[in-house]
Amino acid sequence: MDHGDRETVEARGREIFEARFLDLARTTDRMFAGLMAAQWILGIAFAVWVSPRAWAGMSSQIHLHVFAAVLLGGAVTAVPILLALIKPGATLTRHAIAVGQMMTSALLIHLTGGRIETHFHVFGSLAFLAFYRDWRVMMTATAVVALDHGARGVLWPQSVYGVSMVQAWRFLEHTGWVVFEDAFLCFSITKGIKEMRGLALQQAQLEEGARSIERKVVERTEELAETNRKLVESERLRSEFLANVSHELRTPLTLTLSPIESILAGDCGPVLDAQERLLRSVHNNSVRLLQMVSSLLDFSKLEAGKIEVRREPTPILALTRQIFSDFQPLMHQRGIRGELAELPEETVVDMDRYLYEKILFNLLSNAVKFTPKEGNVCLSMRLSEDSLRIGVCDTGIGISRADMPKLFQKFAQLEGSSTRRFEGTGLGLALVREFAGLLGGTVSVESAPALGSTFLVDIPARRVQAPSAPVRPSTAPLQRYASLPRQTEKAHDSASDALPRVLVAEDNSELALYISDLLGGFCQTRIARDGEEALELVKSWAPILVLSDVMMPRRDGLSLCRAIKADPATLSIPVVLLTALTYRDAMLQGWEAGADEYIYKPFHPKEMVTRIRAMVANIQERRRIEGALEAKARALARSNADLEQFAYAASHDLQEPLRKVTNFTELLKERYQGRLDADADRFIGYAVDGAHRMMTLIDSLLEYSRVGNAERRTEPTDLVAMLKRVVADLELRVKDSGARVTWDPLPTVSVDPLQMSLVLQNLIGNALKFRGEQAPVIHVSAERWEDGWLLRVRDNGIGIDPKHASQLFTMFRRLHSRRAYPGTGIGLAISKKIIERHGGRIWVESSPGAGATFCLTLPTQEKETTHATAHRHIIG
Amino acid sequence: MFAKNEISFGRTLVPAALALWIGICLAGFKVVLDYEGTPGVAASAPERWPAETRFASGGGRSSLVLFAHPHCPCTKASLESLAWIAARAPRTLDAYVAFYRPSGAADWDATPLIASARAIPGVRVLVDENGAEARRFGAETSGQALLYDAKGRLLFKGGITGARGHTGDNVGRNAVLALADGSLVQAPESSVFGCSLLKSIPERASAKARWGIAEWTTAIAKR
Repeated sequence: MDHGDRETVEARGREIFEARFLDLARTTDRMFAGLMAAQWILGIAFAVWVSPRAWAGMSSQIHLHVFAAVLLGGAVTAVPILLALIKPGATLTRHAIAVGQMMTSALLIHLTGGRIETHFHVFGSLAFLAFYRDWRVMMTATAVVALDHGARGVLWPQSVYGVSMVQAWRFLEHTGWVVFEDAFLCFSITKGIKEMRGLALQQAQLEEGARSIERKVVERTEELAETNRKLVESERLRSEFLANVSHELRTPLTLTLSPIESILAGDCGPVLDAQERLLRSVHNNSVRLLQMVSSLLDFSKLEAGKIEVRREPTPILALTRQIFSDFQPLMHQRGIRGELAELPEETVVDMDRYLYEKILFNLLSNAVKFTPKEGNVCLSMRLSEDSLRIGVCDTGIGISRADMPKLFQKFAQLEGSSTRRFEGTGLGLALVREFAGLLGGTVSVESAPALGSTFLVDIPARRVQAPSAPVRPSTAPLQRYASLPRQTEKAHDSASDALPRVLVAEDNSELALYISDLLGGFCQTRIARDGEEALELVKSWAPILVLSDVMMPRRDGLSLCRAIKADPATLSIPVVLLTALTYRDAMLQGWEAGADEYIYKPFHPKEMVTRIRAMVANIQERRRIEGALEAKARALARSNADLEQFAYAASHDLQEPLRKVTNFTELLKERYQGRLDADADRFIGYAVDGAHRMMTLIDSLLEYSRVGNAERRTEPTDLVAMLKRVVADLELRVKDSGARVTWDPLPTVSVDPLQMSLVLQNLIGNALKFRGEQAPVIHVSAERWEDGWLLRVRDNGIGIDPKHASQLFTMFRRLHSRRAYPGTGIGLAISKKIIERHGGRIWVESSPGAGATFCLTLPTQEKETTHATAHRHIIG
Repeated sequence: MFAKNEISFGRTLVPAALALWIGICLAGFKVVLDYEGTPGVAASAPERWPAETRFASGGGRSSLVLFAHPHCPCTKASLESLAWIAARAPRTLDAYVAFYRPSGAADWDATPLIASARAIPGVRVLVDENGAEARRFGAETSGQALLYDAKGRLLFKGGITGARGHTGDNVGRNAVLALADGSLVQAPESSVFGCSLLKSIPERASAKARWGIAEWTTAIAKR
């Protein structure tokens, strides 16, 4: 303990001592309060009992001792009790108590007639006052005794000593006995105080010790927290390291495996046998290295608890067949017969396909590895209601009984005579057991040396009805070179503009060049060394497809993918992510970033070429179709425009000669009617009528083409005012037909007023025209419709058969004879065109004989309002 | 151990309150002391042993007569002194206690005080009917002691307690014993402390009179 700590402990010791001393003083105060109250009552009782009355002859009165016991006793007792209650523990309180207690002794001595026995009350009180462990209190009490005897010895010696004349030292004799007792009591008090201080110091030391331990605990906790933080950081770095290792190891392995596979497949010309043997040796070892890397990565993930079980509906038979078929080339190469037996019907089960693939891959890999030439490897599968049993049996070297316990241990290489012939990390079967455990399953093995082994894996697998995703290619690295098709594509000039553009984003320049070389046969490629460069090229070079690595400097593949998919200009460009990360989180990240396809490293060159070629072909076909559609749309629009222009021009140009025909025909009729025969008159009449109809028709056509050509000028238009004008224009026909036109409150809408007026004119005109036997009743209403207005023009006319409703708005389509209902058959076509140009729609709701309601929608423009007219408007 | 805010309180009100308290107590004690230290009316005793008295005298021994009020609580201390004297001079002293009994007072001859007197060895207790003996010997205060020698001469008159109702060492008690055995010739003056023996206090007397304050005042003035 250093000096500072010692001072702290001593200070704390003093604090504890003072607290305890105070506690003791308070306790003693309370005890004295009770004692003094009891003494007072006893004094009164004694006075009443011993000297209740004073006599004089035959008369008596209450004795003064009774009053003294009550009043003086009360006065003596009251103040100490009061202080003990309101100021317990205070120094003043205990000194007041000492004074009061000694005065009580004096009073009691008086009440008892100065009995010697009562004097013991003084000594008892001193002993009791020693409870305070304060020698000053003893001095106060002693001073009271000394003063009492001293004063009385001078003033009333007889009351103390029984004689009138007394020597001065007599009071010292009496006081001396008190001091005698005080000496012992003060000695005891000093000793007690010393012990109290010692105990307080001990407690302070204990507390300091406890605090010291607590500080150490806190420091240790902080250290542990720091260690934990470092562990978390270390774990994060480990994960990052694993991801990097995965990437860094797989990339060169890809560069090793893929070219060798290409050479072995004969892509670079014939391979000599000796060369092939060497190449296969290189290839086999590369594949084994890849498998080891994969196993180690899986193991690391498992150890870190980062493998989560994610079951999904999986067509288990198809998946199993696919994995098995991936091994067949290897088995074929090794002269092993592979057999699929006891396969159930295709069933969709709830299964984590990643873990299932790993289990099956490791079991098959193990079986193939330990089975000699001409041996057998058999895969069987049995499916019950809620579980799945996979059996992988081989006729390999088998496992001795002694080696069985070590079989599923991590990194355990069985020490058989042929052990070293079979390379591996010793993790494969350990991973099988761990993955089976994750799936809630078990692994068992039966084996006999030299006869072979049978591994049985039982996994819970619930049958599900949900449709499953198509079987994706296995993520496991497999040897496939035995089935390599020959690459027929020849390298093309990648700068050729005629070929589709594919951007390769890959920071490993060798791999990038290799990929570029692979794709060079059917597309032109450019290489971006990082994500930023790739993004710039996507914008400036406009590739039709982007093949991107995931881990790249400046901007990774996921970010690049997101950026491409976020830009509407590049949204349609497919992105294929090329990655060494095979575990699911990386895959999911890729899909979530918007990737269209995923190709795993190491990839088979042919597989990549085939997939990219297919995608490019699809894109080209899609673009071709889109281009054709666009061209057709453009041609159609041009044609429409031409047609409208033609209609306008034709109508306009026809007007002039027709006007002449009409004028002269009317002149002919006017001048020669009745001069020719009846047939001639009738023919002239036909000609005039036809010319008029022709004029009307041409006017309508002109109007129709104007609607298409004219620039639409919208402005806020009060539909009520417009309706009133239209009705005013049709006033003659309204009156003739006895029609009544009414409307609800109508909004102010942003429309081309001339065109909208034409629509209303057509609709109301039709309603007047196609009336039934009753006078027409036409009502116009408006209501909110999606983001605009819905107008209804309802009449009580002859109605329309619903089957003809769709033809109603077609130009020149007439549902009645011209004779019955004259007209050009263009009005509703014009109305439809106007409404559509306003972004709305028009249709009719009707049935024969029940009137018709023409409905038209108008999208809301800004600053539109509704006139909440309180009254219904009627004109008619 | 006062806190700071208590110091100002302690400097002003507390000493004043304590002084008041102590002053009240001292005043109370002074009243008690005055009461206890105020002597009663001394006897005007005859110098010679009265012949008509009922007490027997002579026989070569001194006679000590103590007049007592049977209800006076202060007289208990006088009886204790008498017992102390009787115990020390059984052969030289004839001791009598005369308890006053007014005529017609039924219960005045069976008080605890009379019982106490009867219990003192060698002491003869008489009932002084109507105070005849007290008047004969001029005694007016309970606790009045008179000592006559064998020849009937008055040796001592006074009290044998130091104060009213106060037991213990005192001048009167010591003087009686010394006079009885002849070791003292000249009797010292000794006040008598006790209740008034014969004279009743009028019902309507003033408080001062009732409490004997007048007597205290006189006594203090004399001192």
